[in-house]
Amino acid sequence: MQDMGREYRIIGFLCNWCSYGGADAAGVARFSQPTELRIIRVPCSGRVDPMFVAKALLSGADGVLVSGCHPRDCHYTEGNLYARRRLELLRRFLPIIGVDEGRFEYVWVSASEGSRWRDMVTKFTDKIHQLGPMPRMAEAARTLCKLEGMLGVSSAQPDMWRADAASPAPRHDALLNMDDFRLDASKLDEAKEVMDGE
Amino acid sequence: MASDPFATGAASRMETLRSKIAQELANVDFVLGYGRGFDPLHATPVTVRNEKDLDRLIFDATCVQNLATSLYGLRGKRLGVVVKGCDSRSIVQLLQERLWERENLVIFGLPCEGVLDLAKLRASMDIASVKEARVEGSPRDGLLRLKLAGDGGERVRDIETRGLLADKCLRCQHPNPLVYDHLIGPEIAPQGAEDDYADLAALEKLSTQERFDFWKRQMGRCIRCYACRNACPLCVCKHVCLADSREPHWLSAEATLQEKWLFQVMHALHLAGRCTECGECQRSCPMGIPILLLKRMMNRELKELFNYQAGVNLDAVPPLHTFLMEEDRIKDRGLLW
Amino acid sequence: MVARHIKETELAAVAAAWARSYRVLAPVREGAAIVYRVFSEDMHPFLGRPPTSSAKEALLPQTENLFTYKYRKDQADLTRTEVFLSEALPPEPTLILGPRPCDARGRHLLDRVFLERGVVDPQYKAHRAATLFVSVACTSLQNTCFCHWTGGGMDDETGSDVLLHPLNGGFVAKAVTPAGEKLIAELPEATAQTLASLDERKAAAQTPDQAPEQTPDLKDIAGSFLAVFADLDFWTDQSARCLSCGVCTYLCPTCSCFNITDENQGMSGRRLRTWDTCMSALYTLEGSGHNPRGSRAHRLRNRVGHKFCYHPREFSEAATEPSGLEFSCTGCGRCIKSCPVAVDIRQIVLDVLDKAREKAAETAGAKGEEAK
Repeated sequence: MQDMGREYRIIGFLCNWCSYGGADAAGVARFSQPTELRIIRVPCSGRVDPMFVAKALLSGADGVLVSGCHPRDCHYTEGNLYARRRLELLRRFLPIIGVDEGRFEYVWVSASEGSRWRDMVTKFTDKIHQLGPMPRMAEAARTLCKLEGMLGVSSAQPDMWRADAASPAPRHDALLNMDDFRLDASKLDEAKEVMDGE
Repeated sequence: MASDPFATGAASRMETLRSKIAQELANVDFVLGYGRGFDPLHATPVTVRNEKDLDRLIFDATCVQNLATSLYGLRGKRLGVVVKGCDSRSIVQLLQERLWERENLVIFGLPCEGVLDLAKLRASMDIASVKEARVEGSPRDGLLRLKLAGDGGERVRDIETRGLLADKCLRCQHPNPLVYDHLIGPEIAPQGAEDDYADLAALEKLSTQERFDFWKRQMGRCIRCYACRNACPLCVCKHVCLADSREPHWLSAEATLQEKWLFQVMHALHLAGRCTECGECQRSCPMGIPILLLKRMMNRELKELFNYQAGVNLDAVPPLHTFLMEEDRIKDRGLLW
Repeated sequence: MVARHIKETELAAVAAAWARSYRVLAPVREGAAIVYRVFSEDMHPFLGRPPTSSAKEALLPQTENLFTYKYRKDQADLTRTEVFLSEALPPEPTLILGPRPCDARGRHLLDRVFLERGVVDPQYKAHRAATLFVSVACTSLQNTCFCHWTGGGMDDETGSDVLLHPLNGGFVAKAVTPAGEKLIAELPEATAQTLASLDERKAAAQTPDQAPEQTPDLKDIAGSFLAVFADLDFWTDQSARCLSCGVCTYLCPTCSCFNITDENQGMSGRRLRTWDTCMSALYTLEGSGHNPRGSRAHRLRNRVGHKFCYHPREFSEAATEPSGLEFSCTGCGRCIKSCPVAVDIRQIVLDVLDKAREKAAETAGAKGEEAK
């Protein structure tokens, strides 16, 4: 485990009927578990809109764990079966936007599985510690009442204006225009010349 | 050129299109078709209400727009619409989701060999100087013959269309409309290569942090005009979109990277299993942000997980509207640890 | 005023010198777009083509913090809440490099909205006072350009502090205002030979008369617009292709509409001013649910009307050649070039004129009938 001194922000969406009970059971059994996971109780894992996860991750959470009833055990019969498809798709989607796949996980924990819940939380928290803090889109954007952050666009959103300043030579410049990387290199020079002369 | 079979073919096809539309004019409020835009390289959607308007119709490789986009806003009317193969997939998806009634739609389907991506042309020349443009031969292996205005009088420049075809045309598997009332012109065989997702692979080669920064730079240009959303044929919420909602407050009005980025993620998530990759979102973006990549990522995973492609089968059940008790390709996450 | 000279290769150095006293916004190529970024030494300003975005973001940022607020409950009496406000700091001195004459004219039109008629917008006023425009004259008209319709031109100086005239591998800098004069005072003077070749280039350049499209006679446009105002079929046809996105308004150098929202987080928050677009249905949606501009036809009509009818009528004293009207449009053509469905505001204006003529003829005909 790296960086144990630092507190991370980990969000857990737990279904009311199984996993919340499981977490409760772990508490009643006085298992020792990490404390960084903040639980949000939802009626069913089927209630978890993938946007909950995306918004949490892009707004400052370092990890998100969704937990529901085991398949076939859903209180509403099929909520977790829809959730499984959605969450699996989300899990595969996140890497393309630059979120490490380890930062989001979904598991099934029943109300009687206190020790399983403890294992899941411990392992997931360890994983987030290994990954370190989630990169931020804009540190200043959500910080309130800081006078230095109040100059309109320029300083409220340093990234927007200073993107070039921060990274003098973007390593993957060709990717900036996705059409470009299909052109071959010899044509690129020609293309540039004509464009500048416009 | 009388000897050019394509030119004569194209001319007779336009005639067929006009006569078929003329036949149907009495049965519809109006027909959405393509007309010439402000220059020879731009097409623009036009409404055909009467015989007089028929002259404005065109159809060639500059007809890039997906006219299915306008449909949802016009529901309640009885409409005719001109579609290419790819556009017809959007209509299939709209019908599948019961967002339109088939009986209120007269579809004029045009088999299509490909359309030009002006962004590609813009990379090699100043398209504002083009006075005339004409595709000689098939858009797949023909020539784009341009007459250019210049200091020394008019010049002619020929460019191979192959390098100008839109990316979606290079991998097109559905050149023929999948749903139509009138098929204009003979069906053609698919000429697109199988999709190798080379663009996604290029992005996936980067580290997670590099990918994050890539999008950070890209989204820095976004001006939140929502052209991507409004150009999407399946984004039917338009102005009751969650992005504009104050309660729930998913996004604020600030032009910060976070809000811009979250919107793109939202767009991709809400199109999961629905996006037909018509590419209108990316084409419409005034700042040239490659947002179609996100939808392609989603589609690649959908295909792998559920063997599903949106908008090709009227009777198919979208994969997120259903489930299997035992999923073949989803492993139980809890057991992986 | 003395004309100065900048070599293309020294442009970055000149910008760097300016950057010591100003926040310099310079156009750079990013992907397929040309956007303004805060200048830093390792950047190459790209002045070869008009930027994709307009220069208005220097005067009217897309998001602006008006103030932040904080509530505090009175502990002795919990029904009482105190509010503390802290105003935004004044803007930094800014220099925007690379707008075109059409963008600079836009500044003059934004002034009309924010500084005239007795209502002065303090934020805009502060930005305006803190911002210098170093514009670049055009050498050719793109096929979306129509500045000559609105009284502008390829080397129009309105609204600029310094105007740079491109000339083989460099720029001739001409100051327009005293502030601009000070800005370029250190630069080497342009030689007589350079000035002569500039005049030569200008003489040879395409004039609006030679432009592919002749300048139409727009003196009747305001009246014509009102004549076709109620013809909703006409506007429905014009707007049938419009996607009602915000490209045209957000890229426009003169569109000035904004929205004000409070972003609340618990007991504190910020009041923000952000760009708004009249192309959006939400723009006019009322609390009751009623929307006076319910369709795209209504909204597109408003945009055309504002630019070519309401503004000239409101500022009728500001007569501008060639039409004798001042439009709230500088003819930069961004709304045409960047429109996903190629809506052409020039064509709409011409169609309005035609339609109005048609209607006038009909009315005259009907009156003639009556007289008989």
